[in-house]
Amino acid sequence: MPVARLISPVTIVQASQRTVLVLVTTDPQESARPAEAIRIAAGVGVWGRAQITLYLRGPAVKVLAEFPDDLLDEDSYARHLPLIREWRRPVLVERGAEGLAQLAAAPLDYREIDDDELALVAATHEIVLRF
Amino acid sequence: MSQLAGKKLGILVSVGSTAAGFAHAVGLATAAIEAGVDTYVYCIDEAVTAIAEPGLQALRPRGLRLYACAYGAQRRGIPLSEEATFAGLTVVSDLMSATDRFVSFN
Repeated sequence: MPVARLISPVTIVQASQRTVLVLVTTDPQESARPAEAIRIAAGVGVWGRAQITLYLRGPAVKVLAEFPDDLLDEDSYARHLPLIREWRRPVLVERGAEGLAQLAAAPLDYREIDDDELALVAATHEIVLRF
Repeated sequence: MSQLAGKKLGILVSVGSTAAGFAHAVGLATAAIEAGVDTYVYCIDEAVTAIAEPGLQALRPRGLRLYACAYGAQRRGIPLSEEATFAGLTVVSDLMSATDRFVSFN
């Protein structure tokens, strides 16, 4: 039985860990679902039984705003984004998503990927949660 | 006996009872139970408003383990009840790691 496996060029997970892709597409200015997605990603990831990858698409990239004051349930971001930062790997975001250019100082490192890379990422994760 | 008997299935639902995803989750849970699969449903976010839904409750005597997000229920003013086991994200983590298959309906 393998002790580890490769799920992306930069991520190695322990064989005992499930790989989970949390895919967020909802606008955090119009819905609290992205805040719930961040809470779930942080809250599940902290137990170490799952390797979580967070992907933000379209308007969901606003989650990375330096000051998320105008996002619904903004307290959730202040509380949970620091837990995600502790993963020490970048959040994945849609390449060229509108709003990325407006991000001044994002609270998390992020890496832009195109749809082909997203397909690869999704195919290499065992569980996909979409919000 | 089904070759699936004894397998474990985790289902995460985050949408309310009017969403198609909720009906799909209940349908999958029903089919899994009928196949002898140990089935766990965790209702989170809007789905905590639907734990009393008859189709879901009808599965409990047939073996469904039903969990609801305690945080989501508290935020929505939903009182704790016997309709589900109210729990936190550690249970989601447990289900993800301990089930043979884990799917989500959002």
